[in-house]
Amino acid sequence: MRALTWMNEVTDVNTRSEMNSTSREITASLASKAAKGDRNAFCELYGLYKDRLYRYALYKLRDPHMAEDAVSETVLAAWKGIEKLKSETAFGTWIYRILSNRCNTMLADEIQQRSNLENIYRETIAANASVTISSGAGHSIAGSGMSDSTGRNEDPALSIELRQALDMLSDENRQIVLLSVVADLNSTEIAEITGLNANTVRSRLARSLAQMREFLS
Amino acid sequence: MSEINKNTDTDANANNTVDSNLTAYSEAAERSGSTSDSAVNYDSDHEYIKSLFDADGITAPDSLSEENISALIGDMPGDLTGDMTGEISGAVSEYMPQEHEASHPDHSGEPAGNRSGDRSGADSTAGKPERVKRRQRISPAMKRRIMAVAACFIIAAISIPLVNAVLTSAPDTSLVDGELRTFDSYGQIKRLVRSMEKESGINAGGGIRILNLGRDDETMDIMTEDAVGDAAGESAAEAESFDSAVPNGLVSEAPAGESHSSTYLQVNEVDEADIVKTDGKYIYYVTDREEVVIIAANKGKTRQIARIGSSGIENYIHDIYLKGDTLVTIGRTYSGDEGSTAIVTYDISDRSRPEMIREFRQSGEIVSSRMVGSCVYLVTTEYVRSSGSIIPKCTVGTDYTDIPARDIRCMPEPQSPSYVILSSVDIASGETVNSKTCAVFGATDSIYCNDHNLYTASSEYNPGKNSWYTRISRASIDGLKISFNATATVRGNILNQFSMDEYKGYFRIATTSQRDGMDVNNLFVLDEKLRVTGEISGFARNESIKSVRFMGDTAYVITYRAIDPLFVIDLSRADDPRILGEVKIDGFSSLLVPIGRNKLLGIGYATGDNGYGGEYAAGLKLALFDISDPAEPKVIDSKEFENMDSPAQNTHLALTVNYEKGYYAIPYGIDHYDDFAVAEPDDIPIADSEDPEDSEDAYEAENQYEGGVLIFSAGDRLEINDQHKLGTDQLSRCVYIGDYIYAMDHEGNAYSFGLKLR
Repeated sequence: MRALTWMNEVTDVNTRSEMNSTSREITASLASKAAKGDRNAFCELYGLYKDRLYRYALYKLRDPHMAEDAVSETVLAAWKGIEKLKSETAFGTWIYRILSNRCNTMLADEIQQRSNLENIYRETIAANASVTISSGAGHSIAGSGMSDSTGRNEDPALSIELRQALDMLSDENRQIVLLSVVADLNSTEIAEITGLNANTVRSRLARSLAQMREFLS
Repeated sequence: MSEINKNTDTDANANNTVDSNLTAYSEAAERSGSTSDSAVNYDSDHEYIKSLFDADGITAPDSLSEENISALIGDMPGDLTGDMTGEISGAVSEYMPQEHEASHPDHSGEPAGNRSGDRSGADSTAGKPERVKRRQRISPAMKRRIMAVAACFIIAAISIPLVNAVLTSAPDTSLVDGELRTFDSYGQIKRLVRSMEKESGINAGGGIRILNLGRDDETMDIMTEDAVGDAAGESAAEAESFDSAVPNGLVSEAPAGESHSSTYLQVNEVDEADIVKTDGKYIYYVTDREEVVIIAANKGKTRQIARIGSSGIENYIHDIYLKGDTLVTIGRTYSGDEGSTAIVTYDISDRSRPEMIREFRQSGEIVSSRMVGSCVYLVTTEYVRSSGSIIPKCTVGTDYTDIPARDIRCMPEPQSPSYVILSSVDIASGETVNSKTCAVFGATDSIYCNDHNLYTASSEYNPGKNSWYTRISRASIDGLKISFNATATVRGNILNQFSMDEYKGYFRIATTSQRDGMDVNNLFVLDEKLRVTGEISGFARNESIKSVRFMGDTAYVITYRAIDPLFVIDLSRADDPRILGEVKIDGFSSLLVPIGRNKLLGIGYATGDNGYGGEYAAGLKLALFDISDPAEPKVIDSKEFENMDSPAQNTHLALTVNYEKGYYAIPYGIDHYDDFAVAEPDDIPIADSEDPEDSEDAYEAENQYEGGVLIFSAGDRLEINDQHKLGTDQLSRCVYIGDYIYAMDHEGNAYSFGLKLR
C-alpha cells in the first residue's frame, strides 16, 4: 500500500530530474512481474505511464475521444502481448511503439474516411446539379460536423501556439518531438520506434526544437 | 597484417534496449549547467519546449484510470498461448495448407465462408470489449519500418485458385501458392482491386487490408474473364525496342585519385546506393536536407564545390551512385499532387557544374536499388485505390505513362492492393531514357540482388496462424531484360537484406516466426522453382535473429534474447541444412563481417542487465569469432565501448574497410544524455583547478558532443588503432582517400584527419 502511494507521487512528476534511478528500478520490477501475467503489476505500471500516454495521443490526434480510444486500445494490445515483454525491449519503448502505430492508423483511417466522404459529396452534388466540383482540399462538408482542415474536433485544452508549432514540422519530425518531449524517450529509444538512426534522431530533434522555439518566442 | 576478405558486409537493424524514463538529447550550444532544476533555466531548446508542454496541465481522464483499465482487461489472459493448437512442427510454409485443405478439398472454388470461425477463434478472447474490435491498418512506410507488436490485425486472404496452383499433400514441403499469373487487361486489375476493397468494406488505400475469406467463384471469374474494353490501355511506346548501341561516352574513366574506400556491398559487383561515394578526389554526399554536395578533398583539406538541390520541382534525394563522370541520384519527386520516385542522371565532367542529363520516374515509394554494370535497378512499392489511378506508371521514352497490363504479374492470393515495381534503367544511354519496367501485384519490404536475379520480400501477417509470413518474388535481371518469374511464401519475418542469399541456384532465407507465443527461428532452402527443398525450423526458441551472413555452403546466424549465440549452419546439402555448432557471447552483433575463411567480425551492441529482468543497450560491441571449426566456433576477442553508438550498428553501408592497410573504420558518437553517463553534481570537476588533468575532465564534462571515427583491425585479436575525436556525435559516414580519413555529418560538413597506424 505504501509503495502504491509513493508511485502515485512519481506519476505526477514530469520533469526529467525527478525521474531518478529509483523510479526506473520500480518500473523494471513492475514490468518483470507484468510480463509473467501479474495483472495488478501491469495496471500499476500503466498508472505510471497513463498521463504521458494520453498526452502523447492527444497531441498527435488532437481529439480527446480519439486519444482515449487510442490509449485504451494500446493498453489492451499491450496486455494481450505481454509475453513479448520478456524479450529485451524496454517497457517504455514498447508501449510507445504500439501507441504511435495506433495513432498513425487512426490518422490514416480518418484521412481515408474524409476522402470517402468528399467523394460521396462530390458525386452527390454532381448528380444533383450540373456543377463541376474541382478536386482538392479546402471545401468543407456541410453538416458533417467536420472542421475543414483537420477533420477533428480539436481539444481546446491544447494551446493553439503549441499546435501551430507542431504543425510546422513534418510528420516524422513531429513524431520525434512528441516522443522526446512528451513521452520522455531518449534518442536510442526513439530510433528504435521510428526506424531511424540514433544520431539522425538527435539532429532532427535539435533542429525541430530550435524551429519550434523560434516560432514560439 | 590482418587479413580482411573482400566479402560483403551485413546490414543491421537498430534494436537497442534502453531503460525508459530518460529524456532525449537537447541542443548543444545552449545546454544549461544545471541538471536538477529545469523549471527556471530555459537555455536549452529541449527544456524550453518541454516546459511549455508540461505547463499544459493535461492529465489522463477518469475513463483511463487504472481501475477502468483493469476492468477492461477483465479476465483476458495475459499472453498469446493457446492460439497455436493444430500447428505441425517442422512444416515449412503453413500459410494456408490446413485451412485450405479443409475448405477446398477439390479446389473447385467453393465459398469459404466457414473459415471465419478460424479467424475469430484465433483472436477473440473472453471479455474483450466491443469497441476494441477495430480494424487496424498500417501505412506503407510504417509497415516497412516497424514490425508491429501485439496489434489486433485481422487478415485473411482472398483465395484465388489459380490455374496452375498445386497443393502437395505432404505438409512439410507444401507451399500454398503456385505461380505468378499475368493480367490480360487493365479491367482485370481494376476488378480485382475493387473486389478486395469491397470485401474489406472500406476504400483500400494502403497497408494490410482486412479481406474476407474469398468467395472463390467470384474472384475466380475475375481472373479468368476475357479482356473487355481496357485492353486499349496498353501504352503505345514500347520500351522493348531499345537501341542497345554503344553508350555515348558519358561513362568515362575515373579521375586519377589515390586509393580510396568504396561502398561495402553485400554482393560483389552489385553496387548499392549510399549517401556517400568517393572517387579518390571528390566526396559526394547526401545531406539531411536531401541534397547532394560535392566536396573536393586533398590531403586532409576539403572544399565544397557544388550542390545539387531541388531544381524547381520538389526533389528529395535519398541516395546516390557514382560511375566515372556520371552521378546518379535516387529520390522522391513531386509534380503537382503526384509523387513518384526518380532516377536522375547528372554529367559531372565539370565537378563544379553538374548538369542534369535525364530523369526516369516510376510511381511508388522507394524500397531499394542496385546497380549492375551501367543498369540501375529500382524497386518501389505503390498502394492503389479503385477511386484513383490503379496502374503503376513509369517513364517510357519521354512520357510518363501506365505500364502495359502484360508487364504486370499477379501473386497468388495477394494480400493487399499494391505493387512491387521494378525498373531497369541504363544510365549510359543517350538523351532518351532506355528502360524497362515490370510489376507484381503485392507489397515489398526488402530486396536481395545478385548479378542475375533480384528477390523481393514482403511481410504479411496471418491471424489464423497468429504468425508472420514472408512473400518472396523473384525477377531475373539481365541488362534491360527484366521479368518476374516465380514466387514463394515462407513462415516468419526476415531481418534485412542479409537474411537472403542465392548460391548455386538455391535461394536461402532465414526468418524469425512465432510459436506458442514465443519467437523461434528458421532457415529455408528453396530450389530454382522456389520450392522449399530443406529447412531448419524452430531453433533458438524465445530469441530472434539479429544478424545473418551467408558464405557459400555455410550460414552464420546470431540470435538474441539475453545472450547472443552464434550458430554455424551447414547448407552444403540443399535438402538437409544442419546446425553444426554454436557459441554464446553477451550482447549481440547486428553486422557480421567475414575475414578470410576462418574468422568472423561482429559489430553490434553491448547490453547490460538492469538487475530486474530487463536489458538495456549499453554501448558498442566488437567481437571476433574463430570459425575454422564449424562444430566449435569460438570467441577469440571482444571489446565494449560504453555509451557509444555508431550507424554501423544499423547499416552495413556505414562500415569502411581498407583491405590494403588492413583496418576497419566506423563513425561513432558517445551519448552523454544517458543517465548512466551523467556525472553526479559532486563529480563535476572544478574548471579552475590547478591540476591540468582536472581541467581536461572539466572540458569533457561540458563538451557533450563526443564522437569521431573508430579505427580498428582484427588480426589474432581486436586492436583499436585510433579512437579519433572530431568533436561531434553527428557523423553518419566516413571514407578514406590515401592516408586521410574524411568523415561527414548530417549537414554535409566534412571533417578530416591523417591516419597514423602502428
